[in-house]
Amino acid sequence: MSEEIVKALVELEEDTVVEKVAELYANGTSPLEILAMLQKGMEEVGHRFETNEYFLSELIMSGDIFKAAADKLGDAFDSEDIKKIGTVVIGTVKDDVHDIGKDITATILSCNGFKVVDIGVDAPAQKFIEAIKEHNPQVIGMSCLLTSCFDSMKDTIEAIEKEGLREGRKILIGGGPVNEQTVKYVKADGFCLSAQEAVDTCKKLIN
Amino acid sequence: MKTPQQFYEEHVARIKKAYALEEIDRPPILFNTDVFSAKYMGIKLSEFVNNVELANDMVLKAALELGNGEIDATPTGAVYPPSREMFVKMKLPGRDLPDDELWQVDEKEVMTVEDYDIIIDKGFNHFTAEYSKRKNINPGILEHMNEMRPTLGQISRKYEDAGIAVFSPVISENLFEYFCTTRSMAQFLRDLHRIPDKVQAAMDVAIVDIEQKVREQIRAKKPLTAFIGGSRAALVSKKLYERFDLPYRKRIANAIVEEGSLVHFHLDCNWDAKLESLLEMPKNKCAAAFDGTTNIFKAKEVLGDHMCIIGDVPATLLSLGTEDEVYNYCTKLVKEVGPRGYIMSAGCGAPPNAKVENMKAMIAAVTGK
Repeated sequence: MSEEIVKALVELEEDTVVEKVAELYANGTSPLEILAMLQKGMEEVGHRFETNEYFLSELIMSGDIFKAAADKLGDAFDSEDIKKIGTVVIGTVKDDVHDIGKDITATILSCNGFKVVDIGVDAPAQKFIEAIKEHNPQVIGMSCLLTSCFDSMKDTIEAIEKEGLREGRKILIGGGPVNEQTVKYVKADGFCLSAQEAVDTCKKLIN
Repeated sequence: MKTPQQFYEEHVARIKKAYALEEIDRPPILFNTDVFSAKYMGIKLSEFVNNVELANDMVLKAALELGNGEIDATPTGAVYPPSREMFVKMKLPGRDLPDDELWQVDEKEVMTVEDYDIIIDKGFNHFTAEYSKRKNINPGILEHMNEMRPTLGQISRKYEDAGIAVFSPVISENLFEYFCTTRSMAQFLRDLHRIPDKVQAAMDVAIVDIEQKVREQIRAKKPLTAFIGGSRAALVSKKLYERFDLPYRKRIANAIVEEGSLVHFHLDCNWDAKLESLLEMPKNKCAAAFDGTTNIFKAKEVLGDHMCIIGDVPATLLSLGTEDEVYNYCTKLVKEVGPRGYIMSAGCGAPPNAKVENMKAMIAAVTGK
C-alpha cells in the first residue's frame, strides 16, 4: 500500500492518494508512517523537477495533493510529535507585493518537512525581526521580483544583523532578477532559483 | 545631417535586415526603457497614470538624449499601465502605491472555472467585453481607454516624427498568459491538470476571435512587428506547453506573417528547454526577445539560422553592475549573438534603477561611440 501511495503522488493521481491515505488512517496506520510515504513521494517529485521532467505546475499539484492527504490525518501534520527538519521564515520584502513564487516555495518547503512561517508581502524589516525572535528559524527566505527593491532587501538584512539575529542563521534570497550579483550586493548567504532548489538548499544548510 | 525621416527609414531598414538575418552595419537598438527613462528625466512613475502625455514625452526625450540618433526603435510607442485593468487588478503608483514605486499586477483568482464555459458558449470577444464590467475591476476603464486612444495614437506618431520606429504597436493576446493573469497563475496551472479538456475547449474557441482581432489591427495599423507574450508558458512541462500554448502561438504567428507584418515573441523566464519548438515558427519573420534568464548564447546556436534574437541585458546587471561589466557583456552579445540576426535591448525592460552610465555603455557597445 505504501508504494501505491508514493507512486500515486508522484503520478499526481489526486483522488487515489487522498482515498488511500484516508483508508490507511482509518485502519490504524500511524500518521508518522503515512507522512513518511507522502514525503517520499515529494522527494521523487523533486527529483523529476530537477531532471526537467516536471515543472512548476507539477510542483504545485504535488503540494496540493500532499496537503489534501495530510488534511485527512486531522491535526497530526501540525502536531508537535511530527519532527520538523527545521524552521524557515519567509516573506516578500518591503515595497514588493509579488507572492506567487513565495507561496509556492512555502508550500513545497512545508510538504518536505519544514515548519514555515510566512510573513506575507511588502514586509518591512521589523516584521522579519519579530518573526525571527518568535520562531527562531534556521533559515530566513526573502523574495523580491523588482530590482528597485534590492535596497529594501539589503536594509532588511542589515537590520537583522543589527539586532544580533544573524549569527547561526542563513539568509537565502529568491525571485526573478536575483542572482549571485544580488547576493553580494545585499549580503545574503545564497539564492535559489526554484522552490525545489530552496528545499534542497535548506536541507543541506540545516543538516 | 540626416532628417528625422531619413533616420526613420534607416532604422526600419536595419530592423528588417536583422529579421531577415542579412549582413548588417550594426545591430539595431530597441530602447525598452519606459520606467528608466521616466526616472532619468525626473518624472515620477505616477505620471504614467496621471499625466500620460507628459510622461511619454519624457520617455521620447530620454531616447533622443541618450541615443544621439542611434536608437532604432521603441517597443510599443505609448505606455499606459492602467490599460491592464481591463482584465486584472493593478497596484498603481499615485493611487495604491507611493508616487515612485513601480506598478505591479495584483494577481488574484478573479476568473472562475465557470467562465471557461462562457468562453466556450459565447466566444472570447463576448467574454472579455462583459468580464471587465461584471468583475468591476476598474469601473469606467473601458470608457477611459476609448478616451485615451487618440492621445496614445499621437504619442506613437511623435516617435516616428523624431526618427524612431515603433517596434510593436500591435499586441496580440496570448491565451496562456491571459488565463495565468485572470485565474491567477497557480489556479490556471492547476486547471491544466484538473480540467484540461475544458481549458483546451475554451482556448480552441478563444483563438478564433484573437486571430481575427490581430489581423484587423495589422490591416489598420500596418505595424513593423506584432507582439506575442506568454512568457509563463516556459514554466510548464513540454507536454503541457505543446498542448496549451504552442499550437495557439503558432497560429497567431502565421496570421501575423500572412497579414504582412513580422513577429516579436516576448519570452521572459527560462526557455532553454523549449528553444527547439520555436523552429516551428515562420522562418526569417520572427524574433525571440529574452530577459537574461534563458541562455541567449544557446538560443543563438539553436535559432540563429531561423529567427532574429533580441536581448538580453539583465536588469540586475544594469542596476548593480559597473559600466565596464555592462560594456563587456554587451560587446559579447554583439559579437556572439550578432551582429547578423540580433537586436540589442535590455532584458524585458530596463529597470527604474538602472544606472545611466550602464545604459550609455549598452548603446556604446553597439555603436562604438
